[in-house]
Amino acid sequence: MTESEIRALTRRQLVATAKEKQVKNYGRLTKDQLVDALIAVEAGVPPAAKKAARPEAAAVNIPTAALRKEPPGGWQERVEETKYYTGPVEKRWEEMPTEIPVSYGDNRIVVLVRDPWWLHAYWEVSPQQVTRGKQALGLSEPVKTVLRVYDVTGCDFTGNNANASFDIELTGMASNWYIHVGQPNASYCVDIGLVSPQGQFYTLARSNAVTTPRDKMSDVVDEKWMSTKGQAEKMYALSGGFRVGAGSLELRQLMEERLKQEISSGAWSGAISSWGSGAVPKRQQRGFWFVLDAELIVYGATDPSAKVTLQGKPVNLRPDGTFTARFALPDGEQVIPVTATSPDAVETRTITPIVNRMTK
Amino acid sequence: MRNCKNLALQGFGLPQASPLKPHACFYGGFVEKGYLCMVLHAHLPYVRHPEFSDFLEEDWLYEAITETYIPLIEVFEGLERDKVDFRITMSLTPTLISMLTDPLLQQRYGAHLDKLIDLSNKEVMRTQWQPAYNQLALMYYHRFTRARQMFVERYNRNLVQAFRHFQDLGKLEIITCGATHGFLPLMQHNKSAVRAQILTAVEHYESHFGRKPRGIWLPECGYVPGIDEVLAEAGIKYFFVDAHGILHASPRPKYGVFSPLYCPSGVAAFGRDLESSKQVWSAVEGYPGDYYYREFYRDIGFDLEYDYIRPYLHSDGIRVNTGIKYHRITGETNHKEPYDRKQAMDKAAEHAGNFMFNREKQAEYLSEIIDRKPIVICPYDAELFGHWWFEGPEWINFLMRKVYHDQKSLRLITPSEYLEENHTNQVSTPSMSSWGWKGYNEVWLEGTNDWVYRHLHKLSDRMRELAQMHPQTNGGWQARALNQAAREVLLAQSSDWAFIMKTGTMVNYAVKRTKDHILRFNRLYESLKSNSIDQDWLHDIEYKDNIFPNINYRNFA
Repeated sequence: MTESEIRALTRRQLVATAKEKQVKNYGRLTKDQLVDALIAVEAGVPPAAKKAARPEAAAVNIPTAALRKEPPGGWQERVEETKYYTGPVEKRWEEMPTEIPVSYGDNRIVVLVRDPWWLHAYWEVSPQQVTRGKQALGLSEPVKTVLRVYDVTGCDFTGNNANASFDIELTGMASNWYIHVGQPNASYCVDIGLVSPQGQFYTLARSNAVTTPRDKMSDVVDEKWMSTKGQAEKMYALSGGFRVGAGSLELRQLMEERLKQEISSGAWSGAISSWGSGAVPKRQQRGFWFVLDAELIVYGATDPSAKVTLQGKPVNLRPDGTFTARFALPDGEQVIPVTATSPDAVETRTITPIVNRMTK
Repeated sequence: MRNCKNLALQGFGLPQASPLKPHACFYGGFVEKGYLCMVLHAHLPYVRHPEFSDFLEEDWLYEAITETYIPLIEVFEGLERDKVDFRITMSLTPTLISMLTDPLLQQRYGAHLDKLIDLSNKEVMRTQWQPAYNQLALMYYHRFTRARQMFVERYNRNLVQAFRHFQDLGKLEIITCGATHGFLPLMQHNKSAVRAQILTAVEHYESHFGRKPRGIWLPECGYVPGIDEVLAEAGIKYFFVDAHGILHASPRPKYGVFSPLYCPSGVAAFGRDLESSKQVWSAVEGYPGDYYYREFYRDIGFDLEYDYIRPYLHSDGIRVNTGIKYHRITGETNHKEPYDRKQAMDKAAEHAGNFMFNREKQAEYLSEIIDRKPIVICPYDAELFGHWWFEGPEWINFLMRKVYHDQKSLRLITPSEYLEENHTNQVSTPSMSSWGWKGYNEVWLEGTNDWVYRHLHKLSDRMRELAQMHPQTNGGWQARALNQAAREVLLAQSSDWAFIMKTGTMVNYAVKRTKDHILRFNRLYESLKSNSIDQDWLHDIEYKDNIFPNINYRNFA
């Protein structure tokens, strides 16, 4: 479906399509959010891949109450993040390094596994290879480029013996893609290739093979280490921190939710956190704020070899005989006798300011 | 340093744990119900900038030393002195060890600590009319001076030797990690990259601890079947995975996470216990969020008047955390009360008791339903204790003492000891997994950071090519360039950069580091291919990126 087609749908149609495309929380999204989500799915970018918008250099005082809510990435991630945290304002670099290469002149495609349901592919295709491909297909105009995703579970893939495959049409100048395969514990290989209007396919490059991880308990049981089904479920529940007595389907759902981190604090904090649209800024501003405080500075000067005490406690003098004392000033009266004694300890002088602070 | 004899210093440092009366324990014939394995993972990426006299991101190390590593060492010293037997498993990553043993950083940390002592001293004077804050200023003054005494006088600025001492005593088992904490599941298309991270780490560990490491903390617990073969090759006996790495293993594990599995290669995999995990990690449901604990986000670096605090900031004048914080969490509110150390310590003791009680119940319950003694693995980032959760090290202190004196169901153990006593374990292949958000690779592979991988892969492919092209060298600049190229690859691979890009804390720095190392590597590669190099430039980057002096580029073949 193209973007304009998506935008033309009614809300009801959007909901139905979103449900079919397994968009998370499709029932709670606004029409605009549904449109965005469906466009994202079509573009091969899973919703969670959207960048978190970084707020501009944040204000100095952080509203700490907001920080006590479970962050979208979970508590463990927040704690790990604080290792690198020195304050909300990041330094600007005067000179960033010169740019790294956009490409290396290779002709290849590499696939990475992201999780049980998603792959990520990046590629570089050489112009010569594209020319070869167009010639082979007997075409001269610009052709469609596709990713052909092969399910090669259990195969020794030769190019023709995949279990199944599907195509993703590439748009624009994409050089990487998130591929939704939706199958845990399966193996995949991806070609990038050209497709003629008649449907002929020419492989420009073929990727490495990868296997998605399992998202539930294995069905394979070792006889020597067997237990009853009930026992296995109990172990699973206890290991996952779940309640004992849940059936295997419920356990599986709980684990899946835990891995997708929807149940950690039980809070649904809006549709946003569950598919991480990135619209939520990292540290929520509490709105307009204002703090104020006042301190007291007492300063004076005397003979550099004199001794000075303030409220009975000695004060250090600078080499020129001046001194400064700074105080946080609570409400109430402060009587501040300051006494200077001459170097030969014969004369003393005392000056006693009295300061009164009140808060209305 | 200012003479502070005239101030009445009240000891508000770490109080001793309240002396606990040992129960009348009937040893001899008593067998524990289960094992408790506490794992601390201490890691920071290699950040060292000799080309600047003052560098903000080096603060990560200084803060961790002041708030985590020194307090933990103090806890261990106390346990040794009081003859409390304990077991903790601790990973010290090669990058962290490198920084802790680097003379420039050691010297800079000493200077940093001196500034903190100076600042806390000024604070003691400034808060004379505010008793609640004055007590805290004294507490910090006392902490920092004790830290200095430990760092400079007791351990001669080398904290790695401090940790080693406890390993040599048999209380601490120190394990290794990937050389620069590279995220291994995203290096799968080129196995030589995985080998390079592991072999470099093992060699580095040996040079600091005098023996090979027995265990490893895989970076972010990132595991893919096959990584264990590399570990086996390096002589490593065990590693850790998140719970679902074990639960989804094939064949199905009989004992859930409460017993390790042997991979087909023979290396054991231990799975994290999620129940104990949440109690400590979550700031809402777990201990660190208690309202009496210190609030992380209220620091005098931000609260106090600018000109006063300016001398203690970096040269760019941006306000930063100093580590001096006066408030407690107080509640779901922006208003924060002053911190009360005594109340916080009482809470820490209570929480340690609670944690122990829960683990006892867990062990007792499990031991009734399974036919072997369960082991409960409790891994945490070391920096959680003391840095994020200020009272964390004291919680560990209370926990170790309570486990030793107050109960009999649990026995603290390291994975090595466990495997020595329990060597019959199920063989099974753990599932690909990580302990990152959502349990797989997404944290390090998403919109903000996916761009790095085409470069990192290219770097490791090229490094393999270089290593294979030069099985020997005749010395001269080629050997230096090859080793330096290896360093640049490893430094670019730190998973910290991708993590920071995703979480958004210091993104510019993470991007800059990634690009710097990619560019330096590529230039070294071109130089080696064309057989000519700018000697001054080589010398310069050897000076800047000086990690792993004994690196062996042949590990990258």
